[in-house]
Amino acid sequence: MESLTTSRNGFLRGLLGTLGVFLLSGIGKAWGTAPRDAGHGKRPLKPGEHRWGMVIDLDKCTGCGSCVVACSTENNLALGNPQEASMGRIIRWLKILPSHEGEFPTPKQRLLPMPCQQCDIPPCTKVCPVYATFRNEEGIVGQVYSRCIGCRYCLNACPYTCKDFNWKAPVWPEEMRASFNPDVSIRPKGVVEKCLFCHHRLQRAKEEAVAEGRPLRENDYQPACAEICPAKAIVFGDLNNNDSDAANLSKDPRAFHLLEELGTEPKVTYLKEGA
Amino acid sequence: MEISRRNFFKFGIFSGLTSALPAWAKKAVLTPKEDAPPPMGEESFAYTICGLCPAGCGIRVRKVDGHAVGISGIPDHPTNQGGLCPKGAASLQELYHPDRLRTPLLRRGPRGSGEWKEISWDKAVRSLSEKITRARSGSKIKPLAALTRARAWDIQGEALRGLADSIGKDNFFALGFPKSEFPSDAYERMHGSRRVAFHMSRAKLLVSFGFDWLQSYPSPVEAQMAFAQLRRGPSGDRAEIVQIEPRFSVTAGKADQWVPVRPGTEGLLALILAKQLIANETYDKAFIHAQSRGFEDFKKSLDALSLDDVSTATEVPGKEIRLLAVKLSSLKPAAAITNRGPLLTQMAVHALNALLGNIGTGGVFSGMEGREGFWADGLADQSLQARPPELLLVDRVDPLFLSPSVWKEIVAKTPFVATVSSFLNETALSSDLVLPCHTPLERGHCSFHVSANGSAVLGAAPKAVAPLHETKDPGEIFLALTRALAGTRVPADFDSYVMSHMKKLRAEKLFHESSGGKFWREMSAAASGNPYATRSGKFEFDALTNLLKLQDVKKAREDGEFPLRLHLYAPLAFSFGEGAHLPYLQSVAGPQMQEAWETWAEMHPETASLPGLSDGEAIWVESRRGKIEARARLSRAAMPGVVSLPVGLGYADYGRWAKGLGSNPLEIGEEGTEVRLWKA
Repeated sequence: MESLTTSRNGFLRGLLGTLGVFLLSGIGKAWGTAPRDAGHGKRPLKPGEHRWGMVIDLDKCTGCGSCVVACSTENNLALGNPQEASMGRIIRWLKILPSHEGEFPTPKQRLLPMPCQQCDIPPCTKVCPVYATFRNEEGIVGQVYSRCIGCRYCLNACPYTCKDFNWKAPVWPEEMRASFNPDVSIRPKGVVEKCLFCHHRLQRAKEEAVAEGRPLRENDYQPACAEICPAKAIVFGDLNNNDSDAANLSKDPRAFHLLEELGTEPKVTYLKEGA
Repeated sequence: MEISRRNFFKFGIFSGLTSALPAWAKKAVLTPKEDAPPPMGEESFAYTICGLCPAGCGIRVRKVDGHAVGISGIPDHPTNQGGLCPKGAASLQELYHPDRLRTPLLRRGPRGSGEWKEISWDKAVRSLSEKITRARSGSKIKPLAALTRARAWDIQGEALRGLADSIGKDNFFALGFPKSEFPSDAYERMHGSRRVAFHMSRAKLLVSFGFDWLQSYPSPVEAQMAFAQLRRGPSGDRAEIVQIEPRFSVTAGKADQWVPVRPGTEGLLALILAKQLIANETYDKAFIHAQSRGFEDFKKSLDALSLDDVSTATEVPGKEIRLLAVKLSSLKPAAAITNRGPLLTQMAVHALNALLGNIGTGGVFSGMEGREGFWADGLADQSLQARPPELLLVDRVDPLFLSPSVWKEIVAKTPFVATVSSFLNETALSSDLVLPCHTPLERGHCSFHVSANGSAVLGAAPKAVAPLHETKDPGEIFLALTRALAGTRVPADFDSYVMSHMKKLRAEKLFHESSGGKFWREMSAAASGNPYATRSGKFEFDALTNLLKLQDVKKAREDGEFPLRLHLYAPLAFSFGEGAHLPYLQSVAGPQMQEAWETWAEMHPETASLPGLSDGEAIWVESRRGKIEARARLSRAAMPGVVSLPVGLGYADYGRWAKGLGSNPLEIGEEGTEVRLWKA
């Protein structure tokens, strides 16, 4: 912006310029005047609105990894290689998280499939300076790659370590490009990516429902991981629909959330192992 | 800009104006818009059979503008009921793999040098048929041995058998993978038939002897489904799962009880449990009396076995053995399972099932109606080792990887080896001629799969996608060879060959139904009346008793030089030794320690302390046969004195993601081999 003068012309130009900067980068936030809750915090949902959630039954889950591979295929995840693996930089939106307790001869182990927990109060969206990550009206925490500036604040804020950063542009052999799911964009270098509950599938399901002139039905939309699970340990559905399996199971006595004490209110519910 | 009074006010006014924007305007600007998904090309679905393992799951291939872009399970397919294993989910990576073989390759340099000459299909088929013709004339040696996959019948294997039959007798073999097979040698000796159905979800107690069944089951999806049933089945009952294994495996971690056992002594443990059941008189006397033969002799043969000796040899405390015996007799029905390990282990474990009386209609094990000819079995090793053929034709299996000690010798003594494969695997690399074949999605399917529980599914589907390269269907190759050699009465093309077979099976309609209907047919719902095909018509203990007389089962040789025991396991991602070529599978190979993209050796810190190894260090694992490199991973859950290594890595080629990665522990030994470690 050139230096301002007191002329009317200059005044207006300055006004427009400031407005422009404000609109483009959201610097209003830095002044503490922007409503921090715009689309971020928890808000009452309109009646009838969907609220998508997942229930993972750890008693049925065998840690086989089908969900991880199905997710990778569905979302065009970068292939990975030994170097990335040794640096812990393999990008997987859904990981099998092992934990161990005790030792030989009576060790205990838990294998826990870990997608984005889709918090109702997501810590990651609050720290994003450019509104690239946000919670949408149906509860899904989104990530807009074209807005992301790669600051990785959200990655650090996520207590579940469910966000991944593209340190390098993904390498795709020419032949493999034909396998891309056309509904999901390929992420460039320098942006953060995450599990979106296969949001593109929801969009396609909605398109289909509109084309057929009917409301969205339960099970019209299933993420790839839930669809493929051979043990049927992953149940997905609308938590606002009291008849859905997901809503009912999320109230099961075995239900718990990861790091519940943080108050993030995840929409991924786990059912603990054991009778 | 200078901070003058004027400028200060000016900025104040600007910011005041901007923050006075109505909330809706701010929200509209700040909340990202959800882009509508891009307009979609023409979407279609192809229904076919997953060919990545012999299980035969039904898969749905999503195609957009003709490209396969998605894979999912078919919800009403009887085998997988909508689920898929990681391998099935990764099948697109095999289809689009950049290092697939595209033209026939003729060896130029010495075997294994990787120097090839690309030749045309015509030339490849012609030269191979000439080789076979020459091999047939005059030689006393078996002119041709054909080797294909074990367990499942498919039309491609059938075409290979047709070719083998037209050339000679006893020349058609199948290669198995014992870690992922049922104990069919025990079934054969004790039931008189390999066709024994196993209804896992009926068990109330499932005791596995060394079988990491959640990861290594021959039909992975069925194993995960059965596990969910055992845990939270419709009846609400919860089965008890006990895992007896040297390693704290995925199955052991999911089980109610893990019993660590010294590698290779599972059979011994089964025998002492049998003795306990007999001594406590808690075995099923009615069953033994009415339906078995040779019980008294078997009982006598256990006399020499003492609980203390077995406890020392297996490293399982005597108290735990006694409790296990009580558990076996109190939770009914109880099932004892194992894989196709040493014969003694197979039979000792299955003898428990007889003692517990859970064989027969309604039991965990029952007879299975089967069709002769649908069963190929992998016992090629000995006969070919003794008399190698003039020419070996390998169909979509990798014997040099799965059984290197045996097959290196056979391949070295075989003058000409031709391999049909989509990738340059270990066997292809050491072949004289490599014939590149379609991946499963590009193949027509007509195959027959038998579930463990005896239900059989015949499926038939045309190719899901058009072939990407100048490859051929394996069946097409074998048919062309048969035609070149025999000429007459061979269908002119593979499609009509398939149709003629479908007509024989009265299943010609199935092909047409694959566009969305049921392209499979369930052939039988298990359970034939009599589970025994033995001469006595009963369960027979004799073979086990005889084996016990021959073997000193208690011996546990200590070896000062090689103080540790090797334990090998097959991760699901690399089931049947295949899978390392697909990057998505590499990433899920070792979920317990988040290990991937390398060969890792799991051991207890105590085991590592003597050679002074720390976690993450590169090490050598050495046996008397050789040494391999691995990364030491220390785990407090590991059994001291045991080194566990996964099978599935260590290829010289097999595409860019597998090439030179990790090591193949089958090169240095098998289960229970004595090893030692040192820093690399």
